[in-house]
Parts: sequence; C-alpha cells; structure tokens
Amino acid sequence: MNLRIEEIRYKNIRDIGSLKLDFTKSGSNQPKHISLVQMPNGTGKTTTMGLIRHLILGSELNNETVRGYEPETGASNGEFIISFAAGEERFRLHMELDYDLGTITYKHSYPQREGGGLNSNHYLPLELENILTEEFVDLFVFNGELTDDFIETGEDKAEEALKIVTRLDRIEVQRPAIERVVEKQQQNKGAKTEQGLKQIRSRLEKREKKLANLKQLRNSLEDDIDGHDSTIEDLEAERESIIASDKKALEKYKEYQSEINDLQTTLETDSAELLDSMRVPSKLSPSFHDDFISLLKHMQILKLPRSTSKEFFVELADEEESCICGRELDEEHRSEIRENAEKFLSNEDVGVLNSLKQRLGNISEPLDLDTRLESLRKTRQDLKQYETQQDQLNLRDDDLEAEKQKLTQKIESEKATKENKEKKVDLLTSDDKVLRQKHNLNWESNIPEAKREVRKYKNKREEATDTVTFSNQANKLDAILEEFVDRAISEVKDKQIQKTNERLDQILKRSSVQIESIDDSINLKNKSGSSEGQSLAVAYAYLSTLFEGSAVDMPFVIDSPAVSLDHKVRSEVAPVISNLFDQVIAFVISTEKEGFIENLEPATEDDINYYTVYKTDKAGELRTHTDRDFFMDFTSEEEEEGGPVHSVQEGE
Amino acid sequence: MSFRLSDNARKYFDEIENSSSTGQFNSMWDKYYFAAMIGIKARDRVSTDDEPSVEPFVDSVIEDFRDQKFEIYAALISAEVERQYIPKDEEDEIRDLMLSILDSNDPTQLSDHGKQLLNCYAERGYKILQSSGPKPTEFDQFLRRYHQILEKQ
Repeated sequence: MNLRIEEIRYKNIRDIGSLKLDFTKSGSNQPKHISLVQMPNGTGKTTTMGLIRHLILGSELNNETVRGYEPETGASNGEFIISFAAGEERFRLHMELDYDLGTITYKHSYPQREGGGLNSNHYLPLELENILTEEFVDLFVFNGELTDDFIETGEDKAEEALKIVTRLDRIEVQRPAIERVVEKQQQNKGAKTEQGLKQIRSRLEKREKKLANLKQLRNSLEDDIDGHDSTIEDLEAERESIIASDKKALEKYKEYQSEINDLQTTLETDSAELLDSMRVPSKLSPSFHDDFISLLKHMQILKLPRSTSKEFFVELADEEESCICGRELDEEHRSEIRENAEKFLSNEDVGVLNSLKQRLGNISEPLDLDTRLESLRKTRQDLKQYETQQDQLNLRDDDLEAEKQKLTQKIESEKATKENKEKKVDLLTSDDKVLRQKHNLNWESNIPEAKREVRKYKNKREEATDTVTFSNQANKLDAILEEFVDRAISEVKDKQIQKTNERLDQILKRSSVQIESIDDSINLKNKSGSSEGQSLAVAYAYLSTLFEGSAVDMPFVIDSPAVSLDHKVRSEVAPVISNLFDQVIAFVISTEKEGFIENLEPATEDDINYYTVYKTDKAGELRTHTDRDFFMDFTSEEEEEGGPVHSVQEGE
Repeated sequence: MSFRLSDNARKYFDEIENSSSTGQFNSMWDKYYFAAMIGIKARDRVSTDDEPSVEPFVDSVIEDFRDQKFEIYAALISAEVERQYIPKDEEDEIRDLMLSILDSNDPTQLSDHGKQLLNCYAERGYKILQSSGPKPTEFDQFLRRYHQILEKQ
C-alpha cells in the first residue's frame, strides 16, 4: 500500500493564522515527488512535524499541550488537517483544538464520497492501523538533526529502527507480558519456586505419615477393645462358676438375674410404646400442640384456603353464558373475572392446604410424658440396683468370696480401661466439629482432620507443580522469543549492512564509507577517516534501505535534512534523499539550501514544489510563495547571521 | 430433593443404638424426626447453604409417620413464620409461605424447599442434642434426656 500526503491545512495554530500546503501536481491528485517547504526558524516547522505525528497516531494531548498551540493573538479554536491518499482511497484526518477547554478532538472525512461530511473519531486504514506505532512514525516523520544518533553513539536507535520496521519490536514488547502472567499465576496459586514445591512435598509427607500413625493407633485400640471384651467375658464366666459353687448364692444370683431380665423387658416395652407416642408432634410437646391450634385459628380467620378455586372462575369466564347470579356476562365482565381468578388458588393448592387444615383440626391432646418418663427412670434405677446387688453378692466361703471380689474388681478395671480406649477411638475418629473444638483436636490427633490436611496439601502440591511447570514453560517461551529475535535481527542486520554498503558505494563512490557492524548503533569501518557528512549519508542510506523492507510505502517527511552537512556532502546526499522515497516532504531553512537543493533529483523537472512560508509584520499573517527563484533567493537574516531580529528579505 | 441426615448426626444416634441393650430406634426416620423437632422447637436451623450434602436416606415419608406428616409440616410452617417475622394476619405472606413449603404434586406433599428446610432443622437439632451433655448409652435414657432438652428450647 502507498501512503501519500496530498495537502496540509492549518487554522489558528501558534503564529499560523491560516495556511494551506498543497503537495499535488496541478490538475491532478498525484503528489509531487519532492515538496520543499522553506520556513524560517520560528515559523512553525517543528510544530508542524509534531502535529503530523500526533494526527497520524491520534494521540491524546493534555490541556497544557493543547493550549500551547493557541495563537498569541487569541482564538477559541484551531484546526490541523491532512489529506491522505492510501492506494485508491482518499481520506482526511482532522484535529480540532479547543483552546478554551484545552481539549483535542479527532475526526475524519472522505472527500471523494458524495456528501461525505465529518465523521467522529480518528481513522486509519486497517493495514496502517496495524503497523503505525509511535516509533514507526518517528522513522518517516523524521528529524534530520537526529540522524547523528544512528552512528557510533552506542545508543540503540539504529538497531531499534531495524526492529520496528521488521516488527520484531512487537515480540520484544510481549516478553514482559509473559513475566506478568507467571507472576499472576504464582500469586493465585501459592508456591512460586522449586524450593516452595519442595517445602509443600515435605509437609505433605509429614501429614501422610501422621495419618498412617493415627490409623494404626485406632486399629490397635480397636483390637485392644475386642481383647478387653473377651477378657471381661472370660472373667464373668469365671466369676459365675465361683458363685455356682455356693448353692444359696447361686439361687440369689439367679433371682437377681430374673428381676434384671424382667426389668429389661419392661424398659424395652415401655420405651417402644413411648417412642410410638413421641412420633406424633402434638403429643410430643404441648408447645407444638399450641402452635397447631394457633395456626389453624389463623387459617380460619384468614379463610385459608378460600373455598372457591381459581378454576371455578376461569370456567365461569370461559364457558358460562351468564353469571351464577343470573346476570348476562359480556366480554368486559369475562376479562375482569379472568384477571381476578389469579387471586384464587388452584384446585391442587386448595387440596393440600385443606389436608393440612383437616389434620390440624384432629390433633391429639399432649401426653403426660413426664409421668411415663419418670416411670421409665424408676425402672432403670431398679435395674441398676439389681445389677449392683448381683455384682456384690456375698459368698459364704471367705476364700471364694475374696476370689469373687477380686474377679469383680478385675472386671470393673477391664471395663474402665475398655471405656477409656473407646473414648480415645471416639476422639481419633470423630468428625464432629463441636467435639473437635471441645477437645482441641487437630490433624495431629484426629483422623478426619488429618485426612483433610493430606487432601489440602495434595491439592497444594498439584497447584504448585502446575505453577512451577508453568513458570518453567514461560521461561522457555521467553528464551525462545529472545533467541528468535536475536537470530532474526542478526540475519536482518547482515542483509541491511550489505544493502546499505552497496547503496553507499553508489552515492559516495570513491569517498564511500562502509558499515562494519550494527551493535545498537551503526559502527563504521575506519571511523576516523570519515567526515560528519559521510556519517550522515550513511544514516540516510541506512534509513532508505530499511524502508525497502517495509510493508507500506511511506512518504518521507523530514525536518532540516542538510543543516549539518558540509556543501560537498550536501551535493552527495541530496540525490540520495531524492531517491529514497516516492514522496519526500522536506522542511528546510534558507541556510541549508546551497549545495543541497540544486542536487535534488526529482523524477521529472516539474515534480518538485518550492514553498516559501514566512511571517509578515502583521501578527498571525503569513505569506506563501511557490516560485522556485523566490525560494532560492529567500534568506532570513536571523538564520544567515544568527541575529535576534526576524526580518525577511524577499527575493524577486 | 429428599430427606437427608448428616453423617455426624447418624453417627450420634447409631452409637446410642449400638450401646443400648433395652431398645432402639425403628428407622432412620425416627432419628431424623427427633433431630428435626428439636430444631423446630428451638426455631433454629442451619442456613440452607449448610444443608447436609450426604446422600438422602429416603425419598418418602415412611408408614410410621404417614398419618402425622401434616403435623410435622405444620410445625415447620409455624417455625418459619416466626423466623421470617411474618405477622399472623398477613394472609398473602402466610399463604405464599405455606405453598412454598407444601407441594400437592409431590408424593410426600412437601416441596423441595420444604424438605431442604426440614433437613436444615434436623441438622441444627442434632447439634443441639450433641452439645447438651454426655451422650446417653441406653435408649430409655435417650428418651428421657431428649424430653428434657426439647422442653428447654
């Protein structure tokens, strides 16, 4: 795609009240090959270069910068417009400056289109939108005085320019993003490093070991409990055999046992009966009974559910010719009935509420549970008493009695030890939050907690492993990108050096200098033997070669192209600059013309514009000439003599 | 949506049952009912977000409770009326609450929301029982203790 600048217009920008620079051939839209705009210092060259950059990029400017463009004569608004041709398409970018508010507004228009008015917002064709970064624009809207920065400075402008034009700079920009993504992942997921992962693994291992130990302890305790049960059984059998040797005691023992059995049966039967009664809420507690009475009463007061259902009214509105009161139903009545029917419940809802209401109307009176529970308590007490008496049954033979008591003590001791171990198992295995808090149980003393802890650390390990893997992969990606850019740039550098050197041979011929290497900036072979002018010629040649590889053919807009060149080099560099681009717009001052202008090589004789723009004595007024002779003869005192007075000598 | 009793609550009742030599609960519904009625009486339930996520123990109301199921639902409605501070003369709100808890199309005639609420009362009820002193070891002792705790709520 070719991008060309056809025209620039100014209105109320600093000292420029109104100015139009047309770069096209007369009677055609084709831009001239070379457009020279001679403006004495202070007329607006630098301002123009800055505005071109801002307008192409659509830069946001702060209030102070916007107000910096306000003319001293005062104006509320300013305007800067460039007409572009991009291939066959023509478009204009408008920059509107509001000096009162300090704001900038971009608009665009299509002069070719019928009725094409102003459209809001900035616009660039898609092909340009993708490549026009600030850095790229600086390479073709170029400050000639900065050409020096490309050569032997150690700064990276030359190498950066190579990256920008080949778009390798985009990859460079993405590399810090990789680090940011990794950091975010690490923040979200915890462990950041191999060291962090190792720590998590070690903690997990510790918890897994503890869980295994706790399970082993539980199994061992459960085995012990079984052992105690068996021992208790054996001891009881032994005690019974001792009792059996005393006939009277045996009878008493059996008598107690019979009572115990009866009481146990009573307890079982009474409990079952009580359970049956307690299953009915109204019998379970007087307060539930009261709740039901109260709820039923309110349902009755509120007429819940209403005896007429929604379906009744819907049917009435849809199917009946007259109302149940005998009046005729018209459409208005029917519509109202249907609307109001929504306030009534469906048949199903009425049914379920009626079931509830019916049950509440038939609830039982609360039971006297206290009496029955007291009876239960008494039975339990009697049972305990018989069990104790049975345990404490005295034998007539002292030795046997002593033996029996000893066995009883052993049984009690076994039971106590067993209970103690059962409690320990309870604490080891309980997943009850209340119990855990009460006994201060944690992963070192409770199996469910230890299981949770192991699960937690397994998740952490997985996340940390993922993070470390992710980080390693990101490092690899970064290294790949770095190597890719290095290799690509190295290859591009070699080609760039070769092509630039060939071009230098063409322009400088016998006095040619050559590029030795590009290491951030351009290094010349035999630097001491090359003049400043030669160095600048190298820089221009470098730039021209750069753009040969660019996807879009750009206009070259340059400020002060020859100001620091000696006359001899100007004559050598001028043809180079002419031949670099299909459109060159050069803003010059009078002192750099000699040796430069006459050596420019436009494609044809009339393919060059000679604009001279200078201030008159009237503030804000500029005069413009397009005549070549006027251009060549024009001098500015200030530039010629470095004096402060800005008077203009007009040529013929 | 069905009836659910948390593992901890089941364990609580199972241990009483296992240690008792003089009686036992007849079903999981017995355990669920005892737990739920304590929560309802206390007008306290866990939040619906904390409803036990265990597998349901049953989808229906068993025979033992079929006749009195509407009493259980009425108790649930009364508790929710109080928890939600619904004035007792607000016909629309009470009717809407009842219809959100009951469901004529469900075999139990309790809606999913109603079951969820009952599960939440049962979970709270179990926690009240659990934190009210040592666990009884005999069934008759449990019934006596239960009555005392219920009447304290």
